[in-house]
Amino acid sequence: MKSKEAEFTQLIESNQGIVHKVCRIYCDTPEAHEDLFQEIVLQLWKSFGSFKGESKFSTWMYRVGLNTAITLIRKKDKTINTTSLDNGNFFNVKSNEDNEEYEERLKSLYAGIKRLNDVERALVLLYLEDMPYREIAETMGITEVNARVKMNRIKSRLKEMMNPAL
Amino acid sequence: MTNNETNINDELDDLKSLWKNQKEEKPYDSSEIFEMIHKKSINSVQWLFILSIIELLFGIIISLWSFFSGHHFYSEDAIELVGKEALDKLESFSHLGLLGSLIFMAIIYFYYRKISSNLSVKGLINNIIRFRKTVIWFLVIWITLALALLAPVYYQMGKEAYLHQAANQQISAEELAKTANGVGWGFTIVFALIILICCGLYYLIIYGFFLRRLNKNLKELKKIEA
Repeated sequence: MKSKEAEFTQLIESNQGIVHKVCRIYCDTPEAHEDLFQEIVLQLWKSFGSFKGESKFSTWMYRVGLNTAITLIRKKDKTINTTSLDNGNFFNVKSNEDNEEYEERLKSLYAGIKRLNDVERALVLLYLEDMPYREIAETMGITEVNARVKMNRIKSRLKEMMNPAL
Repeated sequence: MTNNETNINDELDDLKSLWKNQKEEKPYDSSEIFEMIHKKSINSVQWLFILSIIELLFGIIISLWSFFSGHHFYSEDAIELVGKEALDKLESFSHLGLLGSLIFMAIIYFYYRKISSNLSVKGLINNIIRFRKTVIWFLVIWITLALALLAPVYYQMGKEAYLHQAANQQISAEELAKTANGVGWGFTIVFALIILICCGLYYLIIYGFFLRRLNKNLKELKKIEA
């Protein structure tokens, strides 16, 4: 394996959680997840030469990953229109905590996210990954103030979706 | 910050830790990742570029073939009805269009090179849409010019074909000219409609397939900025 390829595969192997999370919020089937994962890795590889290290490697991965997910035509692009966990396809959603309640809450969070549009999903992902608003704004191409305002609205909607009884 | 906002933030901040504790069921190893980067794949943007080039090449190749082989697009019947001189002039115009097409291909390549995954989400969507709009504008100009050049030819063809057929009929010259005029216009309108419907259907499918989602996302981003 050439040194650049070795460096890249190693970086992706240790940061693959980022790509999996992007795939999980945009895909509803394991096949679609696998396809998107491959496409994102390929796009990351194609852009790797132009990565100058001006931003963190993880920030750059989010940017390329989200760009690929948002612009790619997916074969099965069915959005889940219910918060019911029974109807949602939450394959591969597992928590490190061996706790059923934790896992249910995680699934409920995914159910909420999947009811949002592509752009809102991207914002929530970056927010949950604890990215500063300045970087969220840069990644999305919007102003920091607008990113905050939009995120506050999404938070309220997510809360409603996750706790419909409230 | 209101109590309600504080509660929402607390709850979602709590979810951040939940989010970060996700377990990957099937992590890929480096050899699988190595295989992925060597797979051949054409993404949506590359398909858009390929389609645009095919659309342009289609016209260029037909024009070149006619230019070098000496074959004409029109039939002997058309020469009889419209006249060779007019049709030759029309064909010369289409060869001139070749130069325009080549310049245009350089322009769309320039826009295509601007499409990069390193851009922001909004920047990328903007560039893809700008690229496709450039191609669409070129095609709109091309189709309009083609219709404008061909319309008189089709009008003449329809008119002459009617006059040829009605030569032996007992109709007054005035009525014959009036009907021939109507047939000529009918021919032109039918021809223009066929071209427009075919082009419209083709672009509806292309737009529907490739750009609907991008346009929707761009609108969503603009809404955030509004």
